[in-house]
Amino acid sequence: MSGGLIQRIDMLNCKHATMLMSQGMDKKLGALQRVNLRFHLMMCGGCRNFSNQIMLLRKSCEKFPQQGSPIEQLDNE
Amino acid sequence: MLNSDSRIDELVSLRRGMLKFARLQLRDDASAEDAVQEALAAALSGQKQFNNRAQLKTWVFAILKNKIIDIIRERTRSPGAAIAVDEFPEDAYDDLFNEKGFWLEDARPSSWGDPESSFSSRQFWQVFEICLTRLPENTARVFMMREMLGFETEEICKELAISPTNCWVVLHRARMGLRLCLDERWFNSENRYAEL
Repeated sequence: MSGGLIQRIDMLNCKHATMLMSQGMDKKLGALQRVNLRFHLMMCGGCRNFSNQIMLLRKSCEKFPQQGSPIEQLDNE
Repeated sequence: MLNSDSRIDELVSLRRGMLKFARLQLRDDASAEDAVQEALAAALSGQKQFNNRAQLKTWVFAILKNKIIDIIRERTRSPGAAIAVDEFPEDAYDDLFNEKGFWLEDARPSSWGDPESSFSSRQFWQVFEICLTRLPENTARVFMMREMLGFETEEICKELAISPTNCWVVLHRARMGLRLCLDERWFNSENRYAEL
C-alpha cells in the first residue's frame, strides 16, 4: 500500500504542482492532493517561489483598486 | 477630519481612477460611468466621518466594487451570456517545463525578495496594470472577478455560463501570465524604470 502512495507522490511534477497550487487558491484541495503538493514543495524551490508569488498576486489585487490609475496619474503630472 | 468641502474635492480627484478601474472590470464605458456616479452619490450622501484621504479612498472604492458587482450580476441575469474563455492555446505555458513536466532551468521561478516593498512604488502599480491589460480580455475578466471583486469560483461559472473546470483553467493561466509578466518586467528586470 505504501508503495502505491509513494508512486503517486513521485508522479507530481512542477507543471501539475502549479495547477494544484492555483486550484488551491479557489477551492479546498483533496487530502491526497495536499499531501502530494506538500511533498513536492519540500523538494522544489522553484515551486515554493511560485506559491509565494501567486499569493503576492492576490495581495496586489486587493490593493490595486485603491491605486486608482497609476498610468493616468503619471500622465497628468 | 475632512470637512464636507474637502471631501467633495477629494472625491472629484478620485473620480478618474475610479472610472479607470470600473472600465477595466466592466469593459463598457456607459455602465462604468453609471457605477462611478452611483458610488460617488452614495459617498456624498454618507454621514460617515473620515480622518484622512486614505480612509475616504478605501471606503469609496469599497462602494464602487459593490456597484460593479451589482452590474455584473444584473448583466448575466439575461440569458445567452456565455463567454469564450479559450483565449490561451492549450499548450500556452508548456514551454516553461521539460518533457517530464519539471521547470526548465531558465524558467524556474526565482525569489522576488521582499516583494511587498514594491507596493509603495508607483512604477510597480503601472507595471501591474500593464500586465493585467496584457491578459486576453475574458481571461482578465474572470481573474479580476475572482481576485479583485471577490467572487467565488462557483459564482463566476454560473454568471459567465462556463464549466468549473474551465474556470480553474482560466484562473490558472491568468496567474501564470501575470506572474511571468511581473517577473520579466519588474521583479527580475534589470532596468525596472527604463522599460516603462
